[in-house]
Amino acid sequence: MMPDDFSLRDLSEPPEASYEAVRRRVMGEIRRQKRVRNAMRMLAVAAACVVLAVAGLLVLRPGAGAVAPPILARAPGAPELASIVHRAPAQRRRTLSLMAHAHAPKQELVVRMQTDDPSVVIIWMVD
Amino acid sequence: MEASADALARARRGDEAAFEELMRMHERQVLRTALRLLGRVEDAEDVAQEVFLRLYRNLCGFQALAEIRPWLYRVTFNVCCDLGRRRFVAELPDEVAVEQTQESDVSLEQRRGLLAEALAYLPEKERAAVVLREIEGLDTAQVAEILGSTPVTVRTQVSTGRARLREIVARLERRKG
Repeated sequence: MMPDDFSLRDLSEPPEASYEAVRRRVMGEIRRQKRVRNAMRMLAVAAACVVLAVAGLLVLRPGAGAVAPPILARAPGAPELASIVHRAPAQRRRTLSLMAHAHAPKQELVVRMQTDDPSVVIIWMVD
Repeated sequence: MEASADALARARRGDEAAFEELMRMHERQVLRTALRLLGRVEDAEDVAQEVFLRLYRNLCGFQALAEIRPWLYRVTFNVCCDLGRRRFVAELPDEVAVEQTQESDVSLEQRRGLLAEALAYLPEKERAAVVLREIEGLDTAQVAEILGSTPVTVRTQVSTGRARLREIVARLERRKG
């Protein structure tokens, strides 16, 4: 048998009831989706109304204006004295003095000692 | 035609009656193609439902009515492939091929039934090419666009598909005869 164009194009058609069934199913699903979307929208609107109502009640509450503004941040307190560590500055000072000596101009120390004899003088020179 | 274009515009605005009108315009194309590709009316109905729901969701993407027809073919083919992979894996009847020249005494009606059955045994793309080209009467370029392939490939698929159909029908005839 040769499946020619005629026989291929003449294949049986879907039953008429199928078209009606598909249409009904599609429209039913579309309406269902619309209902779900509308319900979600209404829920969103209701939630927004509740939020607005609560916010309005808070603002309009008596004495609401006298309420002190909320403290958002505090300045840090002074550090405790006990926690301060005193470091001995000796090391540093010593280092500084040594450095000062290093940079100071050299001076000769001369000690002149006189004896009983005026012609004898002892001179002690320290470098 | 003007009324049809108006139906598209109204359907895009959310008019359900207009969308139903659009469905009536294209339901034969969708349901028939799905039936040819899947072989079962129940599956074809499922596919048609999914295709039209997708059309409804994508209505805003269409500027002209002419854009809908090729789009529907493409989506029908894709949905059929998805459904076909899940539900329907046809296997060739395990029988020795008979000679093609053998005369058959089955009636025309029976032959149509055999052809419809044989279509289900073709590989997915070959079946789609044969259905769209030979049954729906689309030209090769259109079929290539729908299947996402080239005209040369489509021509090959149609040719191979027809040869394979001939062989499958012969096997089925032999088995049932």
